[in-house]
Amino acid sequence: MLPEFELLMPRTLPEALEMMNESSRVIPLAGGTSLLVDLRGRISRPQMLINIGGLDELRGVRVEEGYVVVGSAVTIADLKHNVLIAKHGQVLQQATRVFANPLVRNRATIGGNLAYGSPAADAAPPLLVLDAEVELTCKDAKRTVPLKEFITGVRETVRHPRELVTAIRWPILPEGSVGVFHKLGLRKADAISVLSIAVMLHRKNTEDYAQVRIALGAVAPTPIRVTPAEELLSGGPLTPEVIARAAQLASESTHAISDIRGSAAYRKRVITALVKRLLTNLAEGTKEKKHNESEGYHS
Amino acid sequence: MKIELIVNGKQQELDSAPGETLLHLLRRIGYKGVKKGCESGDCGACAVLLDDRVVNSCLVLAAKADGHRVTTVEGLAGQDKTGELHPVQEAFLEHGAVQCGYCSPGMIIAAVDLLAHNPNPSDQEIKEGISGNLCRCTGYVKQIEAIRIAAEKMRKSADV
Amino acid sequence: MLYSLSSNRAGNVSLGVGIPPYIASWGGESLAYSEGDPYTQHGRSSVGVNRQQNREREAIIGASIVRPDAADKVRGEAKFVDDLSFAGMLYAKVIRSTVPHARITNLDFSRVCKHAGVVCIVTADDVPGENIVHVIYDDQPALADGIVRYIGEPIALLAAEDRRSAERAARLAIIDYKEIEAVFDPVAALKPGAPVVAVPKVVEQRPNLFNAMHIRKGDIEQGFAEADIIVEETYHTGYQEHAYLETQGAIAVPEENGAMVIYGTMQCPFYVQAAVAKVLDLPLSKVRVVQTTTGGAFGGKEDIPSVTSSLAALLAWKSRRPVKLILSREEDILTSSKRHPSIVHYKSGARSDGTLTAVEVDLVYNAGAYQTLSSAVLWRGVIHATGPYRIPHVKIDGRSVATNTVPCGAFRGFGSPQVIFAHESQLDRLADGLGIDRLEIRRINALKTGDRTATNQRLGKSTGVMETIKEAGKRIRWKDRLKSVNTFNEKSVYHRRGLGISTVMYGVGLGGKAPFLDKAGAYMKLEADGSLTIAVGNVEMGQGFTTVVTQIASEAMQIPMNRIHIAPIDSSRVPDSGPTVASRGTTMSGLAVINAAKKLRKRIAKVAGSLDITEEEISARLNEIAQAFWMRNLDPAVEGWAAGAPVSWNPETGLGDAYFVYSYATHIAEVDVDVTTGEVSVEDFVAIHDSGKIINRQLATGQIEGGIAQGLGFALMEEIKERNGELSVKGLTTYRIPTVRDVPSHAHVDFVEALYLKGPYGAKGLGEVPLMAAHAAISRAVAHAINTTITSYPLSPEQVKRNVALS
Repeated sequence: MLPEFELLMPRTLPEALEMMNESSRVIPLAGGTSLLVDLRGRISRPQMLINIGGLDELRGVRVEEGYVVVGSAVTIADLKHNVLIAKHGQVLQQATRVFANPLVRNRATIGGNLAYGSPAADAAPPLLVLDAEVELTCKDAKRTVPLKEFITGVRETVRHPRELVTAIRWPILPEGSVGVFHKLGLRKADAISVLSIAVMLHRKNTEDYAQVRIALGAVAPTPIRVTPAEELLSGGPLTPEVIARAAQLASESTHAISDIRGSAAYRKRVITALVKRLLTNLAEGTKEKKHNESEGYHS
Repeated sequence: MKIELIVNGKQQELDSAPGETLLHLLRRIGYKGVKKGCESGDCGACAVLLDDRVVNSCLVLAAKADGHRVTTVEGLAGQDKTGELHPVQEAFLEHGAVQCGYCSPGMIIAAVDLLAHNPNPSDQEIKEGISGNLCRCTGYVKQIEAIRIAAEKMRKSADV
Repeated sequence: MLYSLSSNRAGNVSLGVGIPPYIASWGGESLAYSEGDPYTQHGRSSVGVNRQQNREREAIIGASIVRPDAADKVRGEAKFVDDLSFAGMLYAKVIRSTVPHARITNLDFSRVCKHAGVVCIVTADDVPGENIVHVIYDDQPALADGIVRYIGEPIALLAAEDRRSAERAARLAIIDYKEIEAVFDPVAALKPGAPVVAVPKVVEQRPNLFNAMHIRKGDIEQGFAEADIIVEETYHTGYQEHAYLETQGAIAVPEENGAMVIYGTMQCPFYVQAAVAKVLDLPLSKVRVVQTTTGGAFGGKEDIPSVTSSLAALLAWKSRRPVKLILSREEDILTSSKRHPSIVHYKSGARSDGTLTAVEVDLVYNAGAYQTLSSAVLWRGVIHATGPYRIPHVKIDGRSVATNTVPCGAFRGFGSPQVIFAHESQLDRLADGLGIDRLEIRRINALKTGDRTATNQRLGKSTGVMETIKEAGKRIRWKDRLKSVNTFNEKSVYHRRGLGISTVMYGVGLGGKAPFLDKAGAYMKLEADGSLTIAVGNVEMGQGFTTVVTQIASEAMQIPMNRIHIAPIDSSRVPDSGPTVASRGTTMSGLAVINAAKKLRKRIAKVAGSLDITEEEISARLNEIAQAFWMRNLDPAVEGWAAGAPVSWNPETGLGDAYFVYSYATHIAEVDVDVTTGEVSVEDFVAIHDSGKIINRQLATGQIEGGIAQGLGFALMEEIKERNGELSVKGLTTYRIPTVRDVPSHAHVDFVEALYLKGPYGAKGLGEVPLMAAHAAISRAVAHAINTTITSYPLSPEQVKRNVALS
């Protein structure tokens, strides 16, 4: 049973922003798949919720001035089937296939997944390697924050209480980019990540020049980019030696956490092994089928 | 607050407190086929179709369903006296996909949703479609089989 | 010995011999047909009829009849306990302990009482009868009386007009505690000077030792002296939660003349009846228990319904109104009984030819704060500790220990999965050490008819363990598969495959520790239109009991299934039929129904004779016969009774005929281990069972498929960590049970039917066996894949990865 609260039901975005502006204690409710669980467990006790899940302004995926722009209320299921995402955000689409379960994916939103601030948010690592930004809007202003600066701690973000996450955007990838997302959970569906990893490889003309971005989820208080390893890899050819060193560095430079799903030591070992494996696969163009990845249409 | 729902084709005007979930509301007004299993979106026993998408009714505030169509397991079979079963219900019944029956309503709703979007699913796609529905009795084997058989039957009758 | 090996198709083809072999057993040996059964007798009178009847029998017994309860279930119309309500019904909430061990110094419910909608509060002081939840030993109070011994223990109850008020008011209770030193580890709890958890009257020899049991057979020293190889290891398993989809719940309804009716989700109506009578100080005759459609149980609804029903009854008694108590998922996981965490030490010896010479076992089960079913669980663990193998020298010691943790109870397998994990691991280690194939060592040691078990019981004819091993090996093509696994492993970079085999035995029924519970009644009434109403005392909880009993009744009465109705289970309809546990439902209630049918058939045959209705016509003209019963004021109702075959057990030596019969199974699993992450996938699975005659193939297969999934969960993912008495999981997000994506991609299920002639049509028990075998096959396969010894569950990716590093 949920505690009592007041529920605001704006019909338009301006109306919602107006309501948000009136009190700093209004909590946005999008898909509700995490928030309702928290409310029931009394982890969160807001007095006022504002339903933004139904706002038309927050829907839709479009390409605009060299950017892919995704409305914050777009559901994970929508992303899973979206042709623009298939083209410009394939690494994100991989994550949508292993995101929670199909029923949750039909409600959960991309904005909600990020704004909730979970270290295990499965949308975060792919968006981090896409260099995504978060668009925040309040009644009188709009700003854009890089995703890697958006989540600041466990369930903490830079969102001001009067702001809403209105969109997620990332620059269209140059030709020759290829990404991969890998989720490690304790079962093959409806799992919370023990570790998730996204890798983006961009090659220019020649085999000898590569740029690599690596992001990790569920290993630290926030989803993170693994900058030292990226720097080591970028610019040079992806030899087995450099991949191995980068994998080692990715693990060493991460302050991994221990929790009920796994120890820091385990996470560090898997980071090394997985970074190496995924980079090697990307470099060699090998595709592996994962057991927990859905294939077909269904959300 | 006042909300309007179309439940299994029937328009209803209802009072609902802001903290009431769709699950509680549906059970309160008599749709007991919607089961409460975990209230955390993990088991799918409370699954209903909201418009034409399967959702966990425990994770939807009733107020957010205002103005929408809801289909529960009770709305699948024919509403006339004969009450003819939906092909998915029939296949579950005939092929041993039901044991204790507590997950059945949600599982059937998820399967109906799957087949509405994908009339010819592979076994992998069937598994994907019901991966948000937990069953502790069957080991899922006969549920997969029943969905496969129902799909076949529905395709055949669509061809006719 | 009689065998039939049947295909796993629903068509029920018997491959072994020309006619279904179980029919050959219907001579004098079968209890079901042992004395003057009118149908077998008249069947013998004419060859033609005999053939026809054989066909009918085949059509019913062994067929995949659609379950009669499925229609309501697929429509969403089945009524589970939370779907029921009664006029004036109140909603209950339990106020529970938040500390593991404490003296309650003050209870302040003043704010609770003032909350709108609250109707009544009950504490230990209000209990009219004994403040005890009666299960086996009377140590567990219904409501804590001065002391709490685990987190979640009920302290007080409230009932309110609506659920919301009940929940909100319960939060206003103020309880002051003076904490007492607590102990959570069973080994620590046995040490001198450990905090005393257990109520002194229910321990043996020393504080916190709930139960101590042992077996001494042969001379253990001699056994090890004869061995060419000895392996020794300690194994650990943790909690397993039932995670039935329907949580615990009950409704208590006060009736006229001071009687109380309980409606609830449960396995054991007669346990509930006894518990409620005790706590309300009512005669048993004034407590009536009605089982509602039960959404899964798996042992978890053996003991806890006695608690929930007692609590609801106390509120109903005090408020004089119907009271509904439904546990939330969090409350259910926090407070319901689970599989006992275990520490088991094994020392096993074998000769160089693979023959086992001696097994020495020490097992410690963490029982939690109260006895509940621990003595029975431990007993089964002790009896099953050596597995289905011939071992001349056996020494087993088992202890169940009190700690300040949630009480543990029954869970499918009932104390045996913990030892099966160990005995199957030990056997593989012996095989590896001796260079003997892992399947072969099972074949070498498997028990046969005439062999003696660990308790020195001589096994009867229904001993199909060897056939399960052979058939499982054949189905998976063991030798070829081993080769293909090796080839795969040589080539693969990131994956390793492994093959695991597990063979188990399971004593059907309650056995020598509680022989007085192995009984069952049945009531059978011929209605005036020729239909049949039957009441039994065991329950449907999803396993298919109602269907199987209907099939047995249909067969025994020779009338179509659609003319038979099994009445809702109600304790007032039949005598105490024992619990629906221990894979005994089909056997016991089946025999009771056959016994009733036999009596009714006699009367029917007599009336038919007077109407010039021939024996062949009885079935078709039963309505005429029923009318004659009615017109002539003849008694159309009978009672049937069944008692388990004799068992014995000597607590001094641990020897005796522990169970009246055993079921067997061999499972083989092929797994894939991702060596980068430690993730395990079960790729292929074969399960061959000997449960005697299979009454309903589809249901039996379904039971096994479900058991495999639960076994997989136990081996790979289900985990609850306990810290200072607090459990790490609160719901189905953190307590992970297998999803459809986790279960084996392929599972081949089949049966060898070593008929049990004293069972109904040759049937033995089945329900628990698949889980017992499955987890060990999977964990053995993982061990094989990464070439290591595995000593604890669950095989989480982290644990597997750690073992990969070691191998």
